[in-house]
Order: sequence, then C-alpha cells, then structure tokens
Amino acid sequence: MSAATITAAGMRADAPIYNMDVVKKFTIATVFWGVVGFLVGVYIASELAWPGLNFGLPFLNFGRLRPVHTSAVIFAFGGNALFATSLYVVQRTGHTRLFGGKALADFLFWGYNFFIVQAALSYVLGFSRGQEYSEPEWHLDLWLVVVWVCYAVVFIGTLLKRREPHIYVANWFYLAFILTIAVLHIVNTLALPVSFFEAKGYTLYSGTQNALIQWWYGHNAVGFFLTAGFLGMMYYFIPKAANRPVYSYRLSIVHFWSLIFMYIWAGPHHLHWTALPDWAQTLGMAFSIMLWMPSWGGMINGLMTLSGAWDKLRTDPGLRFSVTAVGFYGMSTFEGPVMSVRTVNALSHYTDWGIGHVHSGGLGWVAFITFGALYYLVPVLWERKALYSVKLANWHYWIATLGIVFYISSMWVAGIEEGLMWRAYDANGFLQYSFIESVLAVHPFYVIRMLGGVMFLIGALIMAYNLWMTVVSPSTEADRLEAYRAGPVPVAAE
Amino acid sequence: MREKIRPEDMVQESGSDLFMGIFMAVFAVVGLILASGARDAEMLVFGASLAVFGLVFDAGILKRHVDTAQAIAAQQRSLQGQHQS
Amino acid sequence: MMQRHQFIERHTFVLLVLALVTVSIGGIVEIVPTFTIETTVEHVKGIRPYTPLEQAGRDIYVREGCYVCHSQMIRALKDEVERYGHYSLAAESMYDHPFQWGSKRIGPDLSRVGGKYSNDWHYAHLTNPQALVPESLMPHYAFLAENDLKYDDISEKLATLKAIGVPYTNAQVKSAATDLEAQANAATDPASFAKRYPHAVIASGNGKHVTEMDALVAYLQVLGTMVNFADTSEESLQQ
Repeated sequence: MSAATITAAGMRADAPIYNMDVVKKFTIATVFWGVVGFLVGVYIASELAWPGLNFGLPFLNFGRLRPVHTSAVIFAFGGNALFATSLYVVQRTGHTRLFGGKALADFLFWGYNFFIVQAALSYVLGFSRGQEYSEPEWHLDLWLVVVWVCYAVVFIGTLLKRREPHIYVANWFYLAFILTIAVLHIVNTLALPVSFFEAKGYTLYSGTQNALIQWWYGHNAVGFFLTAGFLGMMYYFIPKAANRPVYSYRLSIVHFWSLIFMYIWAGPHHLHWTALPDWAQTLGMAFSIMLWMPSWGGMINGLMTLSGAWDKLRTDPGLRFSVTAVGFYGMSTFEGPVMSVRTVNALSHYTDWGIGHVHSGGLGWVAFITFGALYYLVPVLWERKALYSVKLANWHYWIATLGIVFYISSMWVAGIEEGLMWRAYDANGFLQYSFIESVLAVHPFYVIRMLGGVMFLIGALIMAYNLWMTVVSPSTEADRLEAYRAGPVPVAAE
Repeated sequence: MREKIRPEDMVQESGSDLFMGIFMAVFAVVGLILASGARDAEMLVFGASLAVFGLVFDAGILKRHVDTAQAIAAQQRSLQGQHQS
Repeated sequence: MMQRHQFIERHTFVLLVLALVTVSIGGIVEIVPTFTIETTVEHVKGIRPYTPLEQAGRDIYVREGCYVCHSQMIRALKDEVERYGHYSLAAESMYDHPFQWGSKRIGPDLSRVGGKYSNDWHYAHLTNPQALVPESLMPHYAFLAENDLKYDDISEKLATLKAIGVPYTNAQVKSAATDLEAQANAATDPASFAKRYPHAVIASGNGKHVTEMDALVAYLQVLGTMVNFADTSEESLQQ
C-alpha cells in the first residue's frame, strides 16, 4: 500500500488529517453519561415519590444523590457533548487539525471525565461545597481549571491556525462559552482550604454577597454552558442536516452580542424578595425580561434556516430533534423572563415550577439539540452510510417528547399548587394549610414526573442501541466509492 | 499490535507527547503526595486516583509509540516481501 | 457594522477580547457594589460567629445537601412572615460560608427553626422523620448518631474562617476543641458558656463522645435566634 491510498476515502486530497479520534471518544461518553444522568434522575424522582427508597443509607439519600444527577446531566452529558461538537466544528469549519497534538486532546477527554467521576464519587462520600452546580470541593475545582485551560488552549489554538479566514458563527458561541465558564468557575469557587490534605474549604464569600456571586455563576452556567455552547451546536448542525445556510448573518451578529451581554445580568432573579438589596433584584429582573429578545432572535435564526427544507422534518429524525429543541428553547426563554417578574416570582420561587422550567430547558432544548447532533455525527464519524434505523429514532423522538410533556405539565401543576397553598388564608384570616399538606398534595404529580423521566430514559436507551448498531452493523457499512461521494463537503463560513 | 496504519497514526506530534508526558508525571506525584498525607477519605481517593491516572496516561503515550513503530516495521517487512515475490 | 464585524471574525484575539469584555460588565456592575455599599449588610446587634460545635454541625448540613430541600431565607412576603417569622436579614447570614438560602422547599424553611423544637424532637426527627411527620419525604439520618464527630481539625477550621473574615478571637480559635466538648456535654453550665457564645444551646449528649448528630442539632437550634427583633429599629433594617 502506498501513502496515497492510506489517506482515508471520503476526503478531498488536500483535506487535513483531522483528529476525529478524540471527537469519537467524547461522543461515546456523551451517550453513556446521558443514560447515567437520566437514570439517577429517575431514581431521585422516585425517592421523592416514595421516600423509602432512601433506605436510610448515607450514600443513597436524596441530598447526596441530587448533585450526582445535576452534575451528570449538565457537566457529564452536556459537557461531553460540548467537547465533542466544539472540537469537531472548530476543525471542520477551520479546515485544520486540532491544535496541541494527540496527547493534549486525549488529556482533555480523560482529564475532563476524571473530573466527572471524582466529583460524583465525592458527593456520594459526603463531600460538597453546598452551592448548586458548584458542589465539587476545592481540589476538584482546581483540577477542572487545569483541564479547562487546556481546552481553551486547544480551541483557541485551532482557531489561530485555521485555513479559512472567517471564524464561523458557531465558533463565536463556543468561544464565548469557554471563556465565560472559566471566569464564572474561578470567581465562584474561590475558597480557602482548611488544609491541603483535607477535602474541605470555606468559600471566600458569605451571606448576601455569596448568594449574588453564586447566582451570577449559576444563571450563567445555564446561560453559557447550557445555552451559548449549545447554540454553537445549533448553528452548525441544523444548517448541515438541512443542507441550508443559516437564515440571517446579520441576525447572528445581533443575537450573539446581545445574548452574551445580557445573560450575565440575570442572576438576581434567583433571589427575588430575599435579603439581596432591592436595586440588585430590579436590575436582574429588567435584564431577564430584556433577555427574551436575543433568545427569540436566536430561535428565529435557527428555525428559519429550515426555509425551503421543512419537508426534511418528516424524513430526518435527527433534524426533527434539533428543530423541536429550538421550539423548546423558545418556550423556556419566554417562561424564564415571565418567572423573573417579581410578582410572578413571589408565587413560583421555591416551588416545583422552577423544576419544571429547568427541565423544559434541559430536556427540551439541551438534550434534544444534543440528540440531533448525535444522530448526524455518529454515521459521519464512523463513516457509515446511514443511521441503523430511522424507525427507532422516530420511536425515540415520540417517547421522549411525551416524557417531556408529562414532566413539565406535572411540575407546572405541582408548583402552582404549592405556591397557592402556601399563601392561602382561610375565612378567619389564618394560614389555611400547614406546610406538610402541600407536600402531600403534590405526591401524584411526583409520580407522573417520575414516569415522564422513565420515558425520557427509555428513549435514550433506544438511541444508544441505535447508535451502537450504526457503528457495528454490516448493514450500515459504506463501500469506498459511496463514502467518497457522500463525504462531508467543507462548510462555508457564512 | 495494530494491523492497519491509519493516516492519524502518521502525524508526528512528539512535542505534544513529551510535554503531556511530563505534565502527567508531575500530577501523578502530586496525587501521591496528597494521598499519603490525606486526612479524610475523599483526599485519599482523589490523590490515589490522580496518581494512577497519571501513570496510566503516560503508559498510554508510550504504548502508542511502540504500537505505531511496530506497525510501520511490519508494513515495511510485508512490502519487502511483495517486492521479492 | 458588517464591515467591522468582518474584521472581528477574521481576528481571533479581537473576538476573544471583545467577548471577554462584554461578559465582564454585568458581573462587575452587580457584584462590586454589594461589597462597597455599607448598608448591604444591615447594622443589627446580636450576630455572632458560630460556636465550634455549631460550625461542625453546619459543615454536616452543607455536605449532606440539606439546602437541596430546605431553604433558609424567609422572604419579605406577608404569608411567609406569618408562617416562619421575621423576614431574614442579610446580617443573619453574614458569617455563613457558604450561604444556605436554598432554592427549593421540599421541606419547610429553617431560618428560624432554632428554639422551636426540643433537642429530643430533633434527634427523633433526624433519625426517623416519618415517625413524627408521616407524610414527610425526608430521608433517615440515623447514621449521624452513629458517626463520631471528627473534630481534630476544629481549631484549623476556625482559623480558616478567621482568615476569611469571621471575627473569631485568637482565644476562641485556640480553645475550639474544649469549647466544642463543653457545648456537647449536658452537664456544662449554660451561663458560663453563654458568656463566650450567647444563645448557644447546650446539647443533650453525655459528653463521653460527640456524634455528628449532636453537632447538627446544635446548629439547628441556633438558627434565627441571634437577633432580638423587638430591639431593632426599622431604619437599621434598610439596605
């Protein structure tokens, strides 16, 4: 065999040798952690419906398992998806191999997933910083900084050595996500360890300032990890799957800058009516409401990219997931501003409405856009001619969507019921309900919510099977000529 | 030992390998220090895991080099075999 | 605009710097003033650092994720104040590293649970919540009573907190372990202990060995008890 034929079929003669090995690793991890995260979610949902499932065991109780679930779905599932797609997109749109070499890329994968496993283990062992989505103790926070700096180096380095002069829009979003998460994480986790040999530190901040910094972080973990990063995914995979250009270049620009500017201010809406000063609450509310606009700008840009290709939604389940994701994104980014209004928040805060809101975004937007990317990416990465079964992907779509509907509607009802019961007065002017009565009242909805989660998990298992078969089944094996013809065409910057 | 050489394997990135090799060795030592002085279960687990991670990662880099060298040597032998027949 | 943006898209570092500047503005404008505006933390009397036993209990509260189901923030809303007591002041959590205001109530708010139930009630409830509240969703924390409290590092913990702004005296840091044992011993004279740490509740333990549950109960029993609201004026509560 000569060197010329060693060059993989399906690529143009002058195409760079991309590092797709690391993308494949991250893709597999995404599916794995998705299943794990959804499973833990179903378990803790079951604990809320039937508390006997805590079994009195410290490592199984809700308080310790909840961060395992949130970390698994946000950082393990979401994080690996962002790594996989960002490293894929930055190479393909830049026509260049990943910067930093194979060893550094492998470190990103193993180092990040090492962080994930260690964090989950630490919560179960009874170590936590006690701040949401920021539970890992100081030693793990430092480790994440190491990994994240390497990620920034690889991503920015690849942008610097790109052969395409324009940086494609998806990369603006990925870049903003990487930079902002670095700032958020470092500032929020500043702490003094009790000792270098103890996994216990005390956060530098306290009280009100701690609360504000935590929710500046927490809301922007949503805004940049779960939104900006996944918008990067949307801006690449929807045009690719639809074979259409992004709807509006000008809208992309306005969307990007207004979104990343406004999101940062929204944190205080988590602290309405609390001991945070009023002026900060008002600022947070105002920006949260304004945030509706750039969010819907992005939604419009994503949806209208389908112009002239709507028929593809019938035949391409991956694309259907992505487009539905954008629909849920629109829904959540309307609901969020509504809940940020202080009057509404007086009812909704501390109730299950917040949980409903989180999951319409998490399941409807984040997970669905990831599924869309996975269904596109797996056949391409493993050079298969198609997905193993379109039928199974359809089953996934409908079961998962039904699961989401069960989940969010049960939580809306539960949340509003809780809020109303807590503030209800009887004819004599006394509080009508004891707290425990509100807990009892929402039990049926906790059961329905759990069932919604089970459906979502089943859908993900179907997907895992389908993707596995896509990789190994002889029925999806591409022959060389077909692969060459079907090979991905380089993407234009606009 | 791998049968087929992929184009990926031919890309020379020995600077990266050297840097990461040293980098991970340092972390392995850090892990060992933390584990040996650990005052709670978590620091012991973390330190030990970090030490093992560093070792395995570096072993992986070395293995990749050995495998690639062997695969190239095997291919050259088979090419020579083809020439002679 | 398009021309200028083309320039940004062609230069990585320009894009990087502009994005970084853009995302930094909101955080700085919102966060910095809460440190510089003096009245962010109200000037009220009575707030004191946690006793060593309370702090150890707090650390257990934090690691077990109690904040995931219980809030510690009474909002300035009529029904809430009626149900739980005076709305929570920023001052009341000024030494809370980290704050534990919570974001979800699967169980009731705990800001002013201190003194509402006896020690015995707390021990029974933590061991088996459903025995006292049948519809409760709370897990069992009986294991806390079986775990000895590890407090060989309690002085270091107080020293760490002192380094980040909690006003422990050097004497308090030094005598942390003895103070912890004293508070955990039912035989300790409460008056002498209260001289060093007002409103501290002496635990029900026998002083032989201190358990994690002793610490947690001591923490719960101090919540919301430090400020005497009869003694505060409306002006002092303005932020």
